[in-house]
Amino acid sequence: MNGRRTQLLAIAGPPTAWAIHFVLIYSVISAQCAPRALLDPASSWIIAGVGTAILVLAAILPAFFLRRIPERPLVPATIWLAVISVVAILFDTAFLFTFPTCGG
Amino acid sequence: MTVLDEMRDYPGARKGEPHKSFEEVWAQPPGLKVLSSVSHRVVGKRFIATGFIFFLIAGFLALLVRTQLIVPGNTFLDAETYNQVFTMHGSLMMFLFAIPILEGFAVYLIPLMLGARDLIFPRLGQFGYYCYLLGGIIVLSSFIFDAAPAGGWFMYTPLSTSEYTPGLSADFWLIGITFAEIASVTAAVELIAAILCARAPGMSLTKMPVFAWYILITAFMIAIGFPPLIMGSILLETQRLLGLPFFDPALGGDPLLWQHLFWLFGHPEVYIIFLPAAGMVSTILPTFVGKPLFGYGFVVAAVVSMGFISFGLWAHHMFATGLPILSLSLFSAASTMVAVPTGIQIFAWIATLAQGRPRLTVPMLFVLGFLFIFVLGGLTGVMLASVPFNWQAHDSYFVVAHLHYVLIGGMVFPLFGAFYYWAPHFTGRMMSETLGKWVFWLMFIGFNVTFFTMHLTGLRGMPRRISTYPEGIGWDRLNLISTLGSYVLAAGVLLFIVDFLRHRRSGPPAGRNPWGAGTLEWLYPTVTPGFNFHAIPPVTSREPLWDQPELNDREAPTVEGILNVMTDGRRETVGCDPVTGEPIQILRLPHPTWIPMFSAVMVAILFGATLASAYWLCAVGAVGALLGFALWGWEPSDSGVTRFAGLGHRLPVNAIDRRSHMHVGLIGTLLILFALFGSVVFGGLFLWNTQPEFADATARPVQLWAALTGAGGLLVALFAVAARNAAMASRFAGAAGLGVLTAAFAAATAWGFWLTLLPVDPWGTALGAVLWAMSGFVAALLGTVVFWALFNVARKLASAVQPGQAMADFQLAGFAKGTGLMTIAAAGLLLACALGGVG
Repeated sequence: MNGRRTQLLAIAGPPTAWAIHFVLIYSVISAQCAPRALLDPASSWIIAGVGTAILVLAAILPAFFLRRIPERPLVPATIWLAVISVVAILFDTAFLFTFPTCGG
Repeated sequence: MTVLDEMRDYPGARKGEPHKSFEEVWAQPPGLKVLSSVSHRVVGKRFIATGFIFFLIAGFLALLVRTQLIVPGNTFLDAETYNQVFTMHGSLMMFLFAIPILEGFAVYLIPLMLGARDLIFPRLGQFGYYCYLLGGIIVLSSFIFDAAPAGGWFMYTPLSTSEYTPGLSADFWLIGITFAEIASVTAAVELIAAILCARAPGMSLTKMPVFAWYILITAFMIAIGFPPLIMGSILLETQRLLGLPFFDPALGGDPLLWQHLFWLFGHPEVYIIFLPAAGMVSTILPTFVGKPLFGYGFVVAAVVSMGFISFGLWAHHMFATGLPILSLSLFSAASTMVAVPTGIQIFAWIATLAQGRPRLTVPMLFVLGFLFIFVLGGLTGVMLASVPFNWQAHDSYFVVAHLHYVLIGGMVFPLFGAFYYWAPHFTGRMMSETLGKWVFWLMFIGFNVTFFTMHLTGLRGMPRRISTYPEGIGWDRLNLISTLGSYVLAAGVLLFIVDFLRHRRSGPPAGRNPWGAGTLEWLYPTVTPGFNFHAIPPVTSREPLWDQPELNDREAPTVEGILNVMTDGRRETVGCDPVTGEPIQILRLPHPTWIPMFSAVMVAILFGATLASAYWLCAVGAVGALLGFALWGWEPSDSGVTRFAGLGHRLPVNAIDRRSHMHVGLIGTLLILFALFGSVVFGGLFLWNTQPEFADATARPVQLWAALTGAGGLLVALFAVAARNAAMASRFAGAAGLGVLTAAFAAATAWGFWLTLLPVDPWGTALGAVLWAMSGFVAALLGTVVFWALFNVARKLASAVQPGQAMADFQLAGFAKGTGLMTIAAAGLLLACALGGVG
């Protein structure tokens, strides 16, 4: 991967992982809580748990390539984007395991 | 400036004015012809002036609201007029003032800050401006026809459906606002392409002024955030015009679908408004502290993450609609989370302030006022993100107070600071420091008196949008104070107007860089010449005027830079690699033209005639608009040659490359189209999931035609790619043949949607209507492919294309790939319905 792509990935990667995670959690809740009830809570937990683990890894991945980022001022941006995205991912997931049913 | 004689190897028709000097080529057209100007400076100022006029109108409406509420039981306005007044106040402020005026500043400033002579799609800027102006006129004209919208700036269904809002008032809103939004999305594409593709040599992403980061992220947010409302408005207008039941619960529709689509736009919009204003703060603050912005990297991280996270907040406007607790919790979490990047920015500003001793000029006062007010608004935002508190405060004046603290604090105060800061750029003169301080304090005191009081009014239970209230329930005095405060705020705005008009004639001349700023827009003495830069200087710092003495040591017109020569008598600027900023091409820019204005007027006729149910006139508008677009595109290509650009560079003109401005512009356009497609697909999935019994009642599409339509989408993309490859290899006969096949397959594929959906009654169920809407949208894109492919063929048949001039085919291939992908996705959904049953 060239420096240009690494740089774009470093900036866009972590928040994109958050966005995918948000859509995943929203979809899981919609599937569980809408009249169709496509998922039961256990299935929701499994999907959300696995998805969260994968996407947390995806969000921190760019932090392992900091040395390949050609423009040094972007390094703190990359680190902070990863931190904000991971915290947001965990925050968005936490309540799913707190409330046993759709109605709380 | 010299004119190089390099025209002999130029194969295309010349559109230049070789007999004119550089200054003459860039001169504004005289007299009424100035309306044909495409300069970013002219268009930007028009956006700003028009936006400010809408601000004054909307502010006047706000004063009417406050006057009505000054005492209990007031009869100053009747209830219906009151509803119209607050609806138009919100609509004008949000759609016709806040976003357009900020885009106006961005359109004006971005090329100057980045080292470009203009935006790189200037005609799109002119087209967008006239769409905005005409859309705004349509909305405002509702007052003349006594049909002003009265359903709130959010136009909730079912109130806004024909059943509960007969007449044209909601149509004025839906058609006018949607039309005006064209300006926002065109400006978004323009700004994305300009920021990524037209920067000074050496200006890599991290050497961009931070304002450009804010605008870049805002532009991407507009591209993704506006389409849900555009699609929602189209669906609602279709329901009103044709009776399709998208939001009708009796036929499987859902009023909440409108709320989802509206707030999918509406919440990001708050950040779309806030981020450019925050960018102004991040630009103004370092100037008056005399130090660079603290934590550039942190701020970039905060801006990018806000751009994403703000899309996960939309349902916090729907906490009281009965959503499942799990959904509420998700949106509550995201709403709380967005405070983190916001806080990072605020700490970066405070740290910047701590680095030096700030000069307390008028722009700086507005920045400090912004910090004070916006932090308070942010704190009440965190309170409202908490579901239990939100339920208590829902639809009360507490929310009115919160949103005005965020919007006026977060946008209007920085905007007024920006007016004082950049006024010398517009007029060459300084506004008054004395009057400016009066303006600030009147606005600051007036604002806080008006809106801080509303927190208390809300906590005492006063609901929003009521036209009057009984006396003696604890709201009288608070409302009186709020109203008096609003008059003080208005006095501040009035004084600002006086100061602005006064300074144009008698303000002291500003000269060069009057504030001692570090960014490139201050390189020339004000007013900067219309071409921005004689030569575009290499940039090695984010604050070039502080760190590059060669820029200050000599007269601005003699500063060394690229494009220090003019070729072919054309307007041009340098195109760069989107990441590194390295020059990769010369961008040819259009000269003044009436065509974008003509196209916008034709689109206005199309939209406006819909209001009058004059469908023959709609057809005239549609044909006229297509003619305008064809004339727009039918021009000699600039690609296929190289030119000497100075500083040792010889660069291709309008390079056909994935890093080129055209390709980046296409990606921005596809982003908008995918967001539109995603919005209608979301609508279908939402109704399928929440209304299963009506999904069961929807007839199945035809399997075979659905499969063939999907295959058609693939073939359209493949033929367009083949046509591109042939054109790139200068095999024009083959490219023309493949272009005809592309058009033929696109037309057949669009027809395939019709055949697939024949058994589905769009009036029978809401889901059936959404399937038709989704297919209709993709069919419209396929229609665009037909038009574009045949247009390319016609150009080849007319010998208007020379070797190396395959830009149009290159672009069509990208568009056809996107359209093909949406066709396959739509056909796949229809096939799933056909195979598994819609229910």
